[in-house]
Amino acid sequence: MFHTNPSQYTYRGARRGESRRRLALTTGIVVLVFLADLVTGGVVRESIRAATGVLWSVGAQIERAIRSTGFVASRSSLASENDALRTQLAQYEQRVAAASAAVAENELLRSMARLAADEPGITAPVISSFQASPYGTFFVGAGTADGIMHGALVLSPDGYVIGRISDVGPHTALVDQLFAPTKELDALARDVPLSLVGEGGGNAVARAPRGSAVAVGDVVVAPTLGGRPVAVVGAAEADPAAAFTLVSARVPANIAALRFVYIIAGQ
Amino acid sequence: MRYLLVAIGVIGALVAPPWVPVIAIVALSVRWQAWEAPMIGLLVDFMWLPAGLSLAAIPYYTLLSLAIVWFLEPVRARFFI
Repeated sequence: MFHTNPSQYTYRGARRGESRRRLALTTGIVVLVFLADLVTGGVVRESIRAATGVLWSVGAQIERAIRSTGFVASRSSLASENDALRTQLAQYEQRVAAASAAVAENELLRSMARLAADEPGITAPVISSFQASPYGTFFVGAGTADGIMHGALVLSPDGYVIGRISDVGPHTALVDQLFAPTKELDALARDVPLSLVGEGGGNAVARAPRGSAVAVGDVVVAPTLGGRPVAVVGAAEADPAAAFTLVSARVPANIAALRFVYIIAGQ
Repeated sequence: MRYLLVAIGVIGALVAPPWVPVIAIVALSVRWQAWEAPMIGLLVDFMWLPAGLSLAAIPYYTLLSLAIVWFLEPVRARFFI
């Protein structure tokens, strides 16, 4: 006959009860912290973001220091070279890498300067990864101390609107991307109204009536953002079986590779 | 192992793709009665979610992590307690 030990079940039951009580306590603490942040206007999250911003800045400085040595650039390319040319090649590649980086940064800052001439604002570095956020947001290294305001428009170096400032701290700000997944934006392409739906990464799709005069390369503007450009049409495919043309639009700049953005002041 | 998963979750919340903290939350919740799991979810939301009370500011990661730790509680109780 099979016998069970009742004391073992009592012990397990007590452990389970204790486990659930701890879980309930944890849940309560999480809810309390969240409510405290809401009531205090985001004090908790701002503290976390400020601390993380410092970490990101330090990480970026270390990365730049490593890149400036040319170590990363030269290592892969020199693997296939023979020993005699290795030292000489490394020197040349280091110079070329440094020159290329300087030219690229110069060009970037020049385009920012052109933007600044048209509209007053501030050029801010992107300090977070574009891939890390599940909500289509990213951080820039400028905040209220630099005159950044909630709701300000954020432009790519070529002048396309890529987002809005949604939260501002003293030295960092959270940018809500225009084309974050599932976000919608009313826009115009050659006077054809489009209801763009974001897909992340600076891409969006829309349905235009079949036969609409929308072509690849058309600039898409948003009347609600002062008629500023937000994307270019990347593809316009008419489905013979449907009554619409599927329009794909994208920000010309590679969003994931942006190092600086331009934030319009006084928005 | 638990500390490693917590570290992966926290660092993942700051710099890695969004699925990394999810993996850490699930792994922690399966094996331990991990109070760290909802904290990682809360960290993701505090970092990346705009503040406010609106449909655009629903803290999905906090809710998801709480759901996961509660959903996996019977499984953990059955096999690990």
